[in-house]
Amino acid sequence: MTKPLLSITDLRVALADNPALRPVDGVSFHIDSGESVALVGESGCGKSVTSYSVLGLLEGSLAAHGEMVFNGRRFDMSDRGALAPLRGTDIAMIPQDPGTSLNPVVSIERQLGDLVRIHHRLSKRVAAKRVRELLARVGIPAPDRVAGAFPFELSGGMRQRVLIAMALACEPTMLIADEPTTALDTTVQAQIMDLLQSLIADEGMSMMFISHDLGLVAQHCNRAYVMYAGKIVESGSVGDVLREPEHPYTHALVDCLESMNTGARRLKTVRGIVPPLSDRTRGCHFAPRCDRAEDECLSSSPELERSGHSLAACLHPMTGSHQRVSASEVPR
Amino acid sequence: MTTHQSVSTREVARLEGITHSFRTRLGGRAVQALRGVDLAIPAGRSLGLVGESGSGKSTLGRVVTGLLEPSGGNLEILGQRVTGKSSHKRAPGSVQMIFQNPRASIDPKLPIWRAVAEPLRIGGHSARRKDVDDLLDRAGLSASYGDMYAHQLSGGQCQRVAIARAVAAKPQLIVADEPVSALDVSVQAQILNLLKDIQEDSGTSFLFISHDLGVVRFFCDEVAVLYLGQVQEYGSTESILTDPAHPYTRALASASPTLFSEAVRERIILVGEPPKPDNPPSGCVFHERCHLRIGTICDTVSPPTYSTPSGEARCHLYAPTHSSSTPL
Amino acid sequence: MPESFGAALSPSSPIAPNTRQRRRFMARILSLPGQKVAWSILFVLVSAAVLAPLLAPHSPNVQDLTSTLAPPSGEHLLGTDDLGRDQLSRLLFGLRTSLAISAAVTFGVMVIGLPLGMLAGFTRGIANTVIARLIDVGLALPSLLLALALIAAMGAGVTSTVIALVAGYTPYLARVTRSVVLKIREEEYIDSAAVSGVPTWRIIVRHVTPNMIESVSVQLTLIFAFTVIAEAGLSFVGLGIQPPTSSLGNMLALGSTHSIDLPLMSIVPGCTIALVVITLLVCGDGLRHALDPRSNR
Repeated sequence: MTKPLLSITDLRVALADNPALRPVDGVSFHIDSGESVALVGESGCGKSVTSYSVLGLLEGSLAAHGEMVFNGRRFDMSDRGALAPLRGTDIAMIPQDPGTSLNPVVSIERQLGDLVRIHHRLSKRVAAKRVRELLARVGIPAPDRVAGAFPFELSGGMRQRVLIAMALACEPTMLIADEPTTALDTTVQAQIMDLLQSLIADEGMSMMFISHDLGLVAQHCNRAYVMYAGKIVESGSVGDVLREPEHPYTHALVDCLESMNTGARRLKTVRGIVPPLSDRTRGCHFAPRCDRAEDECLSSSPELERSGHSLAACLHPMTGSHQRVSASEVPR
Repeated sequence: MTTHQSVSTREVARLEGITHSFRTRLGGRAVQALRGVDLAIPAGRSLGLVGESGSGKSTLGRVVTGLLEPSGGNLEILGQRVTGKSSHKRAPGSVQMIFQNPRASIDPKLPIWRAVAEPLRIGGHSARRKDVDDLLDRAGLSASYGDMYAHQLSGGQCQRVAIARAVAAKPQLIVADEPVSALDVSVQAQILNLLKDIQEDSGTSFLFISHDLGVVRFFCDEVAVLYLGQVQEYGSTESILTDPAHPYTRALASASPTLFSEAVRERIILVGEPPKPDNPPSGCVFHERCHLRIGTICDTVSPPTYSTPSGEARCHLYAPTHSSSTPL
Repeated sequence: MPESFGAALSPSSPIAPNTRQRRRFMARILSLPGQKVAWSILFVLVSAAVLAPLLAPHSPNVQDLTSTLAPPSGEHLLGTDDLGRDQLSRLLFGLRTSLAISAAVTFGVMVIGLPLGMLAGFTRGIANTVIARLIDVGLALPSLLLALALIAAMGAGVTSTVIALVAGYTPYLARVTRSVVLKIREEEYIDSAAVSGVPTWRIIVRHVTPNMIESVSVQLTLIFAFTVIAEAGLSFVGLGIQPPTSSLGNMLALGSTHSIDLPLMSIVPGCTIALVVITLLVCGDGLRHALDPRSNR
């Protein structure tokens, strides 16, 4: 069993002036070399905050605690300074919004070139050549023209390719892609996902893929961690988690998506809404919306335990093979 | 359009040759957002409008609602012409709109009940708090939401308020511009169910604008695919999405992520980006990215609309081989 | 029964009516650093000005030629000027005059500038361009010089000072109002109201104006501060408020001629001007911070 490339243990992120409110509440996961792992969830689940804590990029009002092991080295996640050297060279991030992530008044050449020169100490000429190589690598058809352009002259898809190029510039071992295609058109989304997949395969990189889109995750990732209200509620291979979801939340989400494709008269829904930070009680956060919840679900917070082929944090998972079966359990 | 509706009251809206262009700045080049759109929305049905950025779908939505006066063409609402000199003849409240950004469509300074009461007052009617509460209830919100403000509500709750507003004036047609794109999946489902209930209970027609084929498949009876301001394909949702005729629709369908690929679906990755409307390609507007391009005809001649097994498509592939057939 | 009916959601947070919002808003401003102090001082200054007739120990214009240029004493807490008039009383009444004039000017600017700016923001095409350029011309003219020219034509005094300052500062407000209206006009809730069949005039009254009030208020506090200085400046050079009526400006002017024998005569009005302006600017800044949606406090 090889050691994982990245392993996070018990990450907690709390509001600096109100530590009782935790957007991320005890999250542990790992990513092996060459794997694409998804952090999936809806808004408010804490997936983006988790990804930002890996690089120590949380804003000042949030404080992270937890242990991280990357490439054999230990890191204390509350120490932003210690995490800083990882940025770019070991772990690179592709942000969500290509529209605002590039400096609008600096040419692409400068932005990409500066990055390359700072990390590798190249001369201006060598850097220029490297810039064009990178742009070509990400599938940009006219690297010279794009290098001289400014962000506003490029379309959303092109800008995202530039951001991917910037992420690759320093040859990282792992990419964090934070909803990289949410702001893009459907056909462009397909292109970008295709590009990411081939790059990762070619360079042997790992990817942490943050998304709310189960469909994209199904097509492009090996394993998935499903997050809800700051906790991981299910984890396993993408096939297992999406074909045989164990946690009622995952199950409801998959049901909901499937009902959209099967021509049903009404879509399956999950009643209620995600609880806001201030409204998260002890016990299972999903219980108020769960059809399988019992009294004990409101008082005790379930741990991730093996259930079926995956791990699920639930006292009454869908197969319930290792749990007390309650009288009202309805078969799936 | 193929079938010429002789009784126009069976259509809630009819668009003929709608064009629209605007200048981005004084003296700048004219950008054509819509290039001759012909569509009809039958009463009690939903028409889906699918497209990416630059397709003109939002512009078309605004034209139908009356927020935008088209540069050319003819628009009839309930059989009454409402474009050009007749723009004042539009019956107020006959067409309502639901916007993409739920919170932005509610005045942040107004309590929710006032926001919902506003469309009730069209035509000089009074708006009682009871009527507002009824509308909120129909949209799935308890009456106590009436005293709150937009910033206190979640995205899904704001969209319910927007829906309450839209149905308040008892419109014949609701234009929904990406009404669920900004919401989480589980909330999308709730909102879509609500809209479907409304449609079935009150017989309101919908013009449902979306980039999401899955949502369109659930909600719409017919679908029109827009690319660069032109309708490229039109037909019943089921046939268009199961067996798309136009190459662009095929690419869209293949690019839409689903959970499990049912059988090995054709994986089409288009080259290039959706073109900007200010610099349209010659000939067929899609030819530069088309993976089924047949030849120079695609580069030079803009195809007319031909009929296909599933409806109609603007593509040279479907030109009938017999010289006696004429395009639509 | 479909899920969406009957299963009506109830809000988990308590209802917040309008008055609670306003109180919370004031509390938010006061929580920022320095605001409590600034607003207290402002309150004191305004109270002093309003209550001047009650607070002043003497009449401000009564001369006592037997005790001119006297240093502070029990009788005259801030001493007397060269005509034996009580400085404290003159200060209180001078503050009253200056603040009254600034209030009048700010009011005039608001009454003319707001509708002008809104007109500029709402019209399209040629009308918009013409009004916008008119405002730009107004902005291009140096306000103080304009004021001087007007006063020279009309003669110095309260009325001409007010008119001159209104003319000088209206373009600023019109300009800001115009950009705020332009921004609001593009918001989706305006479209939403239009689609709901609300007539344009009602959209302006019910939707545009309430959303405009806040940014405009900030600008008005700034204008108030600027007019205090402007009036002081005009009075200092003798073109504003004429003696014997005291204003902070002409007291400063008078005091500057006796800066050697009785420095208090110039220091006191000078510091008061500075205090008033700084306080107004800090309060305006607090308003701005509290209104900025990006501040997460």
